[in-house]
Amino acid sequence: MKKPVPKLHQVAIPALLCCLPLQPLMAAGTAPTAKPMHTALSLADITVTGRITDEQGQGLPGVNVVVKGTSNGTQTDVDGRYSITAPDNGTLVFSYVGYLAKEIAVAGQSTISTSIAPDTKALAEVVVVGYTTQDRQNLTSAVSSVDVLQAKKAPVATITEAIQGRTTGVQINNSGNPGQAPSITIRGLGSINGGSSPLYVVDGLWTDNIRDLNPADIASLTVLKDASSTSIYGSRGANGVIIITTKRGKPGKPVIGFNAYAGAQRTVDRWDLTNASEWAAIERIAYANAGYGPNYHPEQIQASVLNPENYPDTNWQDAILRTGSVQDYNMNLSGGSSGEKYTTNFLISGDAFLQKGALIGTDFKRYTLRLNSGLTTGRFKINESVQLAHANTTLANGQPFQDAVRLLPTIPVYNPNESPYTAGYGYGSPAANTFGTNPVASQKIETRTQYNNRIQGSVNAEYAFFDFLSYRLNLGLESLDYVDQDARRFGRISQNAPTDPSFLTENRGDNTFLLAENILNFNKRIADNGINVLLGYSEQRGKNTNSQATARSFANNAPGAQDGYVLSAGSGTTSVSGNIFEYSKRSFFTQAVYDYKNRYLLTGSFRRDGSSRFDPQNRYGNFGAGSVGWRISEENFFKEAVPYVSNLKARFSYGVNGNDNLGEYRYQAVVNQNVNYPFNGQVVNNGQIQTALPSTGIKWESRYTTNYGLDLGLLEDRITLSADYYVSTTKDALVNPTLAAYLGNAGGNPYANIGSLRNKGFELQASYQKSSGAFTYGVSGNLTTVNNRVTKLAQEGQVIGSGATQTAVGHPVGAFFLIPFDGVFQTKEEVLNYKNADGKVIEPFASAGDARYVDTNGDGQINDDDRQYYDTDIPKIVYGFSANGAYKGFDLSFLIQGSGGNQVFNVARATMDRTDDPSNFRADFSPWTPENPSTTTPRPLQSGGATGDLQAAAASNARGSSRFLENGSYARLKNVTLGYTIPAPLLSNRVKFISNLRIYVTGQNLATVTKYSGPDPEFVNGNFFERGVDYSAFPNLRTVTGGIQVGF
Amino acid sequence: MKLHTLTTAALLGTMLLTTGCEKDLLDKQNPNQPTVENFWQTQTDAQAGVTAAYSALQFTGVYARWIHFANDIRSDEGYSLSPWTDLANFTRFVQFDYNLEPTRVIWEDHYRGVFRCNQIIANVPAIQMDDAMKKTLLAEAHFLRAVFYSNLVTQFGNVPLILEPSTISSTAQQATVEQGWTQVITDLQAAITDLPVSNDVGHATKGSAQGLLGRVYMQQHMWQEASTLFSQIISSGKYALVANYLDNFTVANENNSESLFEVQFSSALQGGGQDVSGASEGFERPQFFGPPGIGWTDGRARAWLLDEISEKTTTGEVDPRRDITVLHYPMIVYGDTYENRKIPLTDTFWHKYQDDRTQNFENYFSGINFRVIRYADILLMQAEALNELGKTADAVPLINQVRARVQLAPLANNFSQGQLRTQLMHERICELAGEGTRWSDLKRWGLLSTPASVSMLAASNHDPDFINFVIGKSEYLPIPRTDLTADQNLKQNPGY
Repeated sequence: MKKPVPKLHQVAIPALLCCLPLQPLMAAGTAPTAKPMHTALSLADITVTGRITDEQGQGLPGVNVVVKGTSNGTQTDVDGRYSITAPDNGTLVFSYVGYLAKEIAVAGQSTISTSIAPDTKALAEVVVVGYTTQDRQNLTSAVSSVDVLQAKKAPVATITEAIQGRTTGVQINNSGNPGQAPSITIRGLGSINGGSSPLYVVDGLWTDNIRDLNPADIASLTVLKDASSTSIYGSRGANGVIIITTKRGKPGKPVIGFNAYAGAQRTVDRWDLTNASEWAAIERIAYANAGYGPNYHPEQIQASVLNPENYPDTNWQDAILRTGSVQDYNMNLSGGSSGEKYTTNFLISGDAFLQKGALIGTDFKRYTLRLNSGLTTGRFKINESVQLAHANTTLANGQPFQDAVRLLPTIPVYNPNESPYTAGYGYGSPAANTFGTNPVASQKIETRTQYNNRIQGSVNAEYAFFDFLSYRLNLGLESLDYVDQDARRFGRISQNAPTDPSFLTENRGDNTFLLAENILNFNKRIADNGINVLLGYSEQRGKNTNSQATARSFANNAPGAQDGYVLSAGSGTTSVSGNIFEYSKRSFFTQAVYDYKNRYLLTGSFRRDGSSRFDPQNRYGNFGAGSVGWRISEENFFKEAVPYVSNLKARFSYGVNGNDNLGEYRYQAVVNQNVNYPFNGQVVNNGQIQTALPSTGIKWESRYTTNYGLDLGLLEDRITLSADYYVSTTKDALVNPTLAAYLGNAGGNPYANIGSLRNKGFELQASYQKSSGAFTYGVSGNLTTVNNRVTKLAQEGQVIGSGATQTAVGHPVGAFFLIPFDGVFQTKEEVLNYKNADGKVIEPFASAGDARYVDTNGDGQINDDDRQYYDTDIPKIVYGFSANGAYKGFDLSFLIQGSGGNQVFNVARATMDRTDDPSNFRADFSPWTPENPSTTTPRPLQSGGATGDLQAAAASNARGSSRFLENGSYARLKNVTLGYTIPAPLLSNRVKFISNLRIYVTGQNLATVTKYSGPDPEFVNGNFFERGVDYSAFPNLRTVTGGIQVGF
Repeated sequence: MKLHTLTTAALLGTMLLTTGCEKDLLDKQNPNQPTVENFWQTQTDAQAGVTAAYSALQFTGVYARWIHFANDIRSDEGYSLSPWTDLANFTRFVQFDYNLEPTRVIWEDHYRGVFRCNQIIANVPAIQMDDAMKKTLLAEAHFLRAVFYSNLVTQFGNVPLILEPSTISSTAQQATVEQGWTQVITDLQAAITDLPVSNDVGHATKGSAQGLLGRVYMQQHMWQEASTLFSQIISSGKYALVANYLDNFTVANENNSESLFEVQFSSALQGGGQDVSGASEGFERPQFFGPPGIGWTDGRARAWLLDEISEKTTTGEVDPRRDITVLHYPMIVYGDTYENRKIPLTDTFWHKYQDDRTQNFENYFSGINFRVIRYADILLMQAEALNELGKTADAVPLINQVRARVQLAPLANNFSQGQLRTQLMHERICELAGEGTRWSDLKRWGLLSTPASVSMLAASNHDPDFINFVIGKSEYLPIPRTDLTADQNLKQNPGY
C-alpha cells in the first residue's frame, strides 16, 4: 500500500474521537475489576462483568447491555464478554436482535453471565414489502433477502457486484472497468425497450443508481420479485425492486468501527497471441494462397510480413495492462440513547474507496459520508438518512482490449519519427498495416474523466393518532452534480488518421429527484385476525439539466502536450448545447395485509400511476396484485404429524405492474433546430425541420406475473428451503422495432405498444446452519432458471437489431442470428459436390481449405437470408454456492458462482481469426493447410487476391458466422475470505481501548472454469440487444486484499 | 406549546407543501425543441425547412463521403486497397453483408433527405406567405427530392417511392427503375417551371433542374428531350467555362459561372454528429481519398488515367487536367516528396478535390464544394445527344469549347457518329474523371452490359476489380438488409 492514507480518513479520526462521550471511555479505562466491591450497603456504582452466550453456549458478540432506565450501555465483545458500571441495585437488560431480551437485577453481583434464547417469533426476520413490513414467516410474495454480511466481504465498490451468486432470480454481470456499474436484471428481461434495470429503494428513496452507495453502510438488502411484492411500485415495479436499508445506531454505549483493506488487482485472464515471427509466418501463407508474389502485387505485401526481424516485437497486452490496486478505508461511529421521553439513534460513517485500474490510465476514487439519525418521542417518530458521495472516474478510451489484439506485433508502441503529426507513438504503416489505434497512445493522448457529487437522502416522519392508526410522511431527495470532461491532445495515434485539432468537451449537469409520500396506516390485531391497511398518495418529480461545450485548438497544440485544458484557452471553433428534461408522476395507492391466526394469509395492493412520459390521453395506468399463503406448519395436525418440519408455507400470487422507463417527451414530434447549411461560403444558415419520428400515442406497458412458492424449514429452521416458479407476460410492451430506413427517420427507432414478452423460471434457495461446540458452519446454495421469449411484435417478421443478434417473435430478446458455419472444404471435389436441390454449386469460388456454410433456404447461394436463430446470451441457469465456517478465532468463507447455457459471440476471435485483413492471431490459431486439414478454421487467405474466386473466398471465410459463437457457461470461485479474530483476553491485556480486532485476507475471482476462449465469459455490453456480444470487453479483475477490522 | 401540537402542525404543513396537488403536474412541455404542431406557420418556417432539406446533401451517404465510393471507386477510374477489407471488397463487387456501411448509409441518408422534401411539399402550400417565395421554395424541394431519388435509382435500381411525410406506420411501394425515373422527371419538371433563373448563392436554379433532367434523359437514351434542355441552358447565356480548370475543384472560386449546382461545404465548424449545434459541415472525401500519411487512402485513382489524359497542348505541355486529376510520381505530396513520405513511386492518388493546394493535411472538415453539375458536362452531354441524334457535325464544336480551355487543339470536324462516340468517351474521362459521372457513363454506353466490354474493363492494366462484376447483378447495390427485414414486401435486387 504505497498510497498515503486518504485525507478524509486523517480528518475523520480526530473529529470522530472528539464526539466520544467521555464516560464510557473512563469506564473502559478503569475496568475490568475482578474484585467485588466490599463497601457494604453502598448504593454506589459497581463494575459488573460477564459473558453472554447463546443457547449453544457460544459467546454472543454485539449483545446490548443497558442499565435499565438509563442511557448507560455497552455491547458484548466478539467472545460475548462485557463490562459495565451499574448501580448496585440496578437492573441490567440484555437484548439482541432475534433473541428474547433478558433482565437481571445486579443486586451486588460483580459477575453476571447468562445465556439468552432465540425469540422464535422475532427470529422470523422482518421484511419490508412496499409500504409495510411483514414477518418473513407471514410473507406471501417472492422475496429474497441477501446475506449482506457475507456479500460485504467482496472488495468491490458497489453492493450489486457483491450480491452476484448470493440470491435467486437475479442475474448480474460485472466487468473490471473501474467505476462501471454492473448490469443487473431480475427475472429475465421484462421489457424490450432497454429499461430492464430494477428500481432501488434506499431507506425509502427511489433511485436508479446505487453505484455511489457505500456497501459498508448497508444493513439489509431485499429483492422483491413477484407482482404481489412489486405492484405497489406501480410503473417502476415491473423489473423488480431492490430494497436497501442502511445501518442505524443502537441505544447504548457509542461504538466506533474501523475497517480497512488494500490489495492488488489484475485482469482474470488475457489472450495468448502470436509474436512477430509467428504472425508473419501465417501472413506469408495468407499472401501466398491469395496469389501475391513475384507476378502479382509484390509491392502490396507488407514489408514486416517478409522480414519481421527488422521490426519490433510488441506485446500490446503487456503495454496496456498493469497491476492495479484497490484500497478501502471505512470508519463509523454509532450509538443512541433510550429514555422514558426520548429515544435517539445516530450513525456517522465515512468511507474512501480508491481503485487504480488494471488498464493503464484508468482509476476510480469515491468518498462517502453518511449521517443517519432518529428521534422517537411519544407518538412521534422521525428518522433521516443521508449520504454525500463524491466520485472521480478516469475512463478507458477507445477500444483498448480490441486494439491490443488487432494491432500487429510489428508495430512499435513508441515511434517519434512516424510523422510530423505524431505525438511520439507508433501506429501502422504500409510495412505493417492496421485499422486499429495505438491503445497506449489513446489512453495517454485522450483523458476522459467523470466527476460527480451525489446526495441521496430521505426523511421519514410518523405520527400515531392511536395505537392502530398512524400517518407517515416520507420525503426523498436525490441530487447529482456532474462534470464529464473529454480532453484530446493533438497528435496522431492511428495510421493515416485525419489531422484533427486538440479539443476539450465539458459536459456539466445536475439531476434532481424529489419524492413525497403520504401514508395513512391502520394496523390492528382483533382476536385471531391481523389487519393492516394503508392508503397513500405520492408525487415524484425529476429534472435533469445539462450543458455541453467544446473548444478546439489549444495553444499547446504541439504533439504530445500534456497540459490540462480549459475551455477558454481554445482558439478554434466552439460548440455549445444544453437540454432540460423534466418528469413527474402522481400516484394513489393502497395495500392490505390480513392473516387469520398467522396461518391463513392474504394480501392485496393497488396503485394508480400518472406519468408525464405518456401521451395525455394515456397518462394513467392501474396496477394491482393479490396473494394468498397457508402456513401449513401452524396447523396442529401437521405439527403432530411431522414435528421435524419447523416451517412449511405455500404461497400464490398474481398481479400486474407497469413500466414507463423510456425517457421524456417521446410522444411528440419535434422540430430539430440545428439542421444547418452554409449557403454562401463560410456563412452557416439555420435550418429547422422534423428529422425524427415520434413515438405517437404511447401508453403503459404491463407485466403480469403469476408466482407459485413454497417455503420449508426443517429442524428448527436449521435447514431452510425456498422455491418459486413464475410465469410473467409483458403486454403492450413498448417496443422500438427497426423501421425501414426509407421512412427517413434520423433518430432512434420510435416506440409503440406492440409487443408481448414472456419470462418464466424456477428459483431455489437452500441453506443449512449448524453450530457444534467451537465449530460453526453454514452452507447455502441457490439456482435460478430463466426462459425468455418474445411472443408478439407488430407485424409478421418484424425484428429489432441488425448485427449478430436479432429480437423477433418466438425467440429470446437479443437472440443470435447468424449464418451457420459448417466446417471447411477439404477438397475442390467437395466444393463442386456441395449443391442445392437444383444442382447449383453453392460456393463455386471456394477451394480446399475454405469455409462451408449452410444454405439454409436452399437458393444455391450463401447470404443473409441463410441466417438462423441461435440461442441467446441469457443464461438458462445461474447459480451460487457459498459456505462459511468458524472455529475459535478463525473464520473462512467462500462463494462459487456461475451461469450455464448462454452463448457469447466472440468479436475478438472473429477479428483475429480472419486472415483477409491485418490483425494479430491467437497463439493457438491453427488454420487449414494441406498438412493440417482443420475442420474448424479455414485456410489463411488475404483479400484482393489474384483471381475473383480468391477474392470471394477470402471475403467468404471472413464472414461473422456461427463460427464465432461460443459457449459462455462458467463457474467461478468468486470470493474466498479467511479471517482471524484476536481472542478478547489476549487483546484486552495489551490494548485496552480496542474491543475487537479481526484481520483477514480476501481473494476475488480467483479461479474460473469455462470453455470460452476469450479472457472472460462474464462481461458487460451496454447495448441492450447485444448483451451477449463480447466486443473485447474489459475483463473482470482478480483481486487479493488484506484487511483489518477494529472495534473500539 | 406541547411538542405534539408543534409536530402535528409541522407535519400537516409539510404534507400540504409537498403534495400541492398541482393540476398540471403531469404536463411537461419539452423545453428543448418546439413541437411540429407549432411549425409550418410562417415564411421563416418554410425557409428554415428548405435549408434543412439542402442540409441533407451534406450527409455522409449523400455527397460528403460514401456516394463517391459508389460512383468513382467502384467505376474503372478508381480502386481501393483499404485495410478495411469489407470496404475494399465493396469496390471490387464482392459484398456479402448487405448492411455494409457504405451501402446502408447511402440508402438511409438519401431517404432522410426525401423525408425532409416530403414535409416541405406537404406543409408549405398551406402557409400564408409571399407567393413567389412559396413557389420557389416548393420548386427547390421538388428539385432536391429529384436529386435524392435519382441517386437512389442509379445506385439501387428498384427503390420504394415514398412521397408523403412518413409516420411510424407508413409503407411504400417498391418501384421499377422506369417508375423511379418517371418520378424524378415529374419532380424536375415541377422544379423547372417554378425555379428562378438566378437564385441566392447555393440554391437550385432553373439551370440546375434543367441540367439534372437532361442527365436523367441521357441515361434513358431520350436524346431529343435531353438535347432540348441542354440547348435552353446553353442559350440562356448564364453559364460559361471558367478560364482556369482548377477553379472547379477548390475553395477559391466556388459557385462560379461554370457551376449549375454544387453542394456547399464549409470548414468553419469541426464538431461531431449530424444536425446538432456545432456539427461539421465539411466535405469528407478528401480525408478518405488522401494519400498515406495524409488521409485514409481508402480510395485511389487508377494509373491508366495518366495515359488517358496525356494529350499535348498547343504549347507542347501535357494536358494540365492530368495533374489536377491524379496525384502521381514525381509530384509533390502535400508539401513533401514521394520519397520522403515513403510512398511507393508507382502509387497514384486522386488529386481533384484534394486540399493540398491550401494546406498540407486533410481531415473531415474540408470546405471544398462538390460540383454536382457543371457547364463542361452540359457541353459534352449536348455533344453526345446531338451525335446520337445524327447531328455529329454540330457536336464537335461543343467538344472543342471544352478542349480549348486547356489549350488542346480543336478536333477536326470529320468524325463519323461511331468515331465521335469513342472520342467522347475519351473527352469525358479527361474532363470529368473523379467527378462521379463515370459510373452512369459506363451504364449509358452499355459497357456494363456485355461480357466483352466488362472483360475489357477488367484488363489487368485497367481495372482488374471488374473480374468480379456480374452482369445483371453488379449494376446495382443490394438493398440493405434492415429494410428487407422491416418491410417484407420489398424484393432484393437480382443476383443478391
